[in-house]
Amino acid sequence: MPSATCVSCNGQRPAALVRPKTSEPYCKQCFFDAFEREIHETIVKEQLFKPGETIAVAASGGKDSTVLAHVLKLLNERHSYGLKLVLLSIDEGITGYRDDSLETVKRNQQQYELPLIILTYKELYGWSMDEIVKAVGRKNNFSYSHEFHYLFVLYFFPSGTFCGVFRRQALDRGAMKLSVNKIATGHNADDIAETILMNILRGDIARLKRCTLIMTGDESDDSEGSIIPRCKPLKYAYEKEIVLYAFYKRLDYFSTECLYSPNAYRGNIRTYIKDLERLRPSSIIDIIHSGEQLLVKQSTKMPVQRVCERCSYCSSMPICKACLLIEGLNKGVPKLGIGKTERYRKEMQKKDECCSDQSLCHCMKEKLTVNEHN
Amino acid sequence: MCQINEEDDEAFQALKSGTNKGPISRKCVSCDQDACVVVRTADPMCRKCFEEFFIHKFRSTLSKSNVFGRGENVLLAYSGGSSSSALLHLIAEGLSVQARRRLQFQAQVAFIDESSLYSDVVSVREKVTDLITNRLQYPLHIVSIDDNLDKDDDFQQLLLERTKTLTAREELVRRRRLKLLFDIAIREKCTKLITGDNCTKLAAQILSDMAQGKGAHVALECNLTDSRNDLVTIVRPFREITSKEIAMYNRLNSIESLQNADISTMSGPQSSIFQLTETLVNDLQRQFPSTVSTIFRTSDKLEKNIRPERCDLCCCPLDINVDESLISDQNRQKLVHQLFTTSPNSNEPVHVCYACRRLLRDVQPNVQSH
Repeated sequence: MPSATCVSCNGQRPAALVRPKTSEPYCKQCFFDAFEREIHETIVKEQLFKPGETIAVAASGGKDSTVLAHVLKLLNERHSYGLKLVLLSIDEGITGYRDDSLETVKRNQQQYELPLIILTYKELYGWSMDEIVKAVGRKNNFSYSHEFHYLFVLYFFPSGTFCGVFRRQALDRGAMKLSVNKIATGHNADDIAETILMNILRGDIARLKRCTLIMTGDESDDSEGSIIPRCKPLKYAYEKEIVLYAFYKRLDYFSTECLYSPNAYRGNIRTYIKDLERLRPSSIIDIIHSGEQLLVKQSTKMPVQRVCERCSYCSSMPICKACLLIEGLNKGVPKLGIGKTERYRKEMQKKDECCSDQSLCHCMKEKLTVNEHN
Repeated sequence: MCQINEEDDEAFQALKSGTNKGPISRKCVSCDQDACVVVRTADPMCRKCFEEFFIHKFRSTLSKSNVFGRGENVLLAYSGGSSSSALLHLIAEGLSVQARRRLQFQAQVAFIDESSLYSDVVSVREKVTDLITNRLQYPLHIVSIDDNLDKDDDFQQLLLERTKTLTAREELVRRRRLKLLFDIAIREKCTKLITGDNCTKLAAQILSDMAQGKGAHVALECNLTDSRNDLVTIVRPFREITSKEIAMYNRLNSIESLQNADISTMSGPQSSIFQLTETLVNDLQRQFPSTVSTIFRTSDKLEKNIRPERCDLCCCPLDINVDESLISDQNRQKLVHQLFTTSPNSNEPVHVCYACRRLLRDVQPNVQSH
């Protein structure tokens, strides 16, 4: 007979839920305690924070960032971490989509009494997503309607490229502007398990090595670029538990899926992990354990980490992807940086604005050939 | 993330559009004769070239790494399935007197009879004996899967009644098979154990192991040589050959495989972690033909875990702290000793790796008193 009383408080209170991680019955109070305690243990064991640091909590208005903000604030007070917490939100400038989640973040600011800073793509890159879509639309002579902005972008333009690249850098560029010590993101256990499997399936050995790290960008990381360390305090928290926590605590969040990438590939992995979880709930943590054990052979060729010549962000190419994309937009060649770039690189170097002589860019070889013909 | 996928899509689109230009070419890519098989996208081959390609892959995998010494005693793990049947055929040809660059080792064959696990399966012992002893004339060693266990430790009962999930059953059988093969090899003084693990199966095994917490051993499980046991090294010559290629080879040479039902036969794609994973890999492979080879290449870039302490269940190096790996439960300790280790003293401490520890949680300890 399944027990109807909480296993944690030994029957003091009746069970209200079954904990996804352990499949045991828990009462609400014990569930909150266990959830919060496990995150605290992660923070302490992995030494994520130091007293006096300013931490930017990446806030999108979604469930992960809401729970992250709530729990970090709670633990900061309960265990005296001595941190200054700030909500950092990025406005991509997509009318009709981002507005709602931004409103949620603004409400979070009130609810958690944390300072909020919103940075827009426009001020960071000079282009909002609406403008990017317009630029593409004009180029391809597509007319579009306001409401179907993101759908248009979804189907006719690989904006996932823009969104992903820009958003990743936006947090860093924003944090640098505000001089915070670290960024905390709401990546949960399911996200990390998904990423591990995705990297195996795509053969991305470099990312496979990094994706299980709970903190990237601090002294132990040997990249040269100036990036702010970012950590994932929710690394071992199940997505289901985050949803349960937010539900029972009546936390305010805006439930959106990223509509930009239907990315059928990741969907396959998502389904696989959900099925695994049904078969064996500990699978998600087991995948993370597996990922942490992977060691890359020393002899494997890895992409070199260097620094972008334009913006000094860390990059594996002489010019980072974001700069390349902006360059393309500014010059009216929006596909620059997406797909095959050889032709466009040749175009750019003809105008003599491409790489400098000291650059390691391989278009130098093409530059020489072009000059020879001339 | 998304951008890599888009680049793949573009490359794939180019490939698709390129090859659909006219009527499908039916000429072999190597010799321009009429083709009869297509195992790689857009690469039709005639029978002769395909067989050469297949045999070459097998031979070069073996000779590239100088795996076998002259006159070495080698044990071939034969299950009756398509891969091990192809393996047997290739090795028999390679050892035959008229073979070009004849293989220089001495072969023996081991077969594990699992028919005691099922109530309605007829044992294929006679067929195996006929094939190997009578026709090929290699020394044959047949053991039953519950070899050396007394009445109290019924393996079938353990599997069907005390193990809750099919995942756990599959994993127990897998480890038990390996243990028995090692035992035979050590007894017959064979220093190498050859298995017919092919690329497709290994790819599914890699992901399935990741899902069970066995990431530390992926590099070991997919490597050409696997030295988890100090006395017997496992060799996997088919590791870069896909199951489709093996099926084609078997067809062209009329190589028959025996019925080899196992506990997961006909149990559905969502019945166990391995079945789920195999379904995923096969589905992805259909849409993206480079899936299996990419999974394989990624794991090929991984380094082996070199800790000296071994797991008592699967013989792989431990991936958790020694004190965390101890089994405290007496009954489970006894179980491990009876089925998997050769220690006569069942009070010796048992160490298990993360995945085996997780596996044992799904097995009910024997509550009967002895």
